[in-house]
Amino acid sequence: MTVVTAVPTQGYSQSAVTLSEPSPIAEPSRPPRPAPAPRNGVPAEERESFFEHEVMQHLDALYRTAMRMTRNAQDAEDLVQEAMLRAYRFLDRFEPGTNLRAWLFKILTNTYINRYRKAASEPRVDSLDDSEELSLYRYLDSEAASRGGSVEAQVLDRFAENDIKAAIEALPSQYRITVLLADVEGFSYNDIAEITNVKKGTVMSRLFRGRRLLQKALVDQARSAGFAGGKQS
Amino acid sequence: MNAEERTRCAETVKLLGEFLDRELNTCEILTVQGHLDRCPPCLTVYRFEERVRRLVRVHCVGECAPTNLRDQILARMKRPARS
Repeated sequence: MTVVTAVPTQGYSQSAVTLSEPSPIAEPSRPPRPAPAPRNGVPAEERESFFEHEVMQHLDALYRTAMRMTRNAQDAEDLVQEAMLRAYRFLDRFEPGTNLRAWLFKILTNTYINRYRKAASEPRVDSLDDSEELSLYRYLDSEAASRGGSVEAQVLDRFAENDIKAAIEALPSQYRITVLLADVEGFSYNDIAEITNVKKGTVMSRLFRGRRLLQKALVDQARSAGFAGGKQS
Repeated sequence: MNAEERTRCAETVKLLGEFLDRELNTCEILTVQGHLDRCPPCLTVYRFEERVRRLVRVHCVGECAPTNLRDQILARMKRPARS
């Protein structure tokens, strides 16, 4: 109990710049493996301690992602438990020195897909029109300026934590997961491609789309709360 | 604003995501940065995008797993595998 104290925010304050973390894929400068057995995972006798000391450090990050995936605490706990136990069972396939975080997130994502894909019907994605495809900023900006103020002060500064989470959770899951992996967890496109089992190009289009949808959801929320849409009434 | 400048703006805004994600190559970074230095409206869009991203991160990153979850996982791990 005393050993593993996760530090949830460690490193994330600058997660946009931590993308140079070793990636499991394409890492040319990785040092040569010391006398490798052909498939060397974590040795059986070290598995328990590796799990407690290395894997469990990522529990908070996995949990908060699971919360956004499942949208409720009980399901998130169940999902994380299942993913962690799978990780434990598969530790003989994890190669120490490669990206443990990405590996764990891949297990979490697969577990989520297996459990929930059939269960929930996805919300349909409204198509975005051309003006929204670019950035909502310009549109918002002209609205804000007409009332004498900035978008930041009128919209962004007023969102509470729950508004942001609700907007994220309203995204269809493939966009939601991709945006979270990039914006919250700071994974590179290559890592996200590996984690979610799609091509890098798909990651990019999901991110682009997902972020636009997120902005749109935030603006709609702001409107219904009455502070960005004064002009309409 | 002439047509060429408008194209530049559209191209820049399109690359902002990758720019913020640090996924562009050096040449592309210089192009985007150069345009942002010259174009205040695009710079504002950049700041907005960056801001939204930071909001998402700040509001999601602080959430911790319940302490009993940690204990449950460790307990199940040490139990012989079932089902």
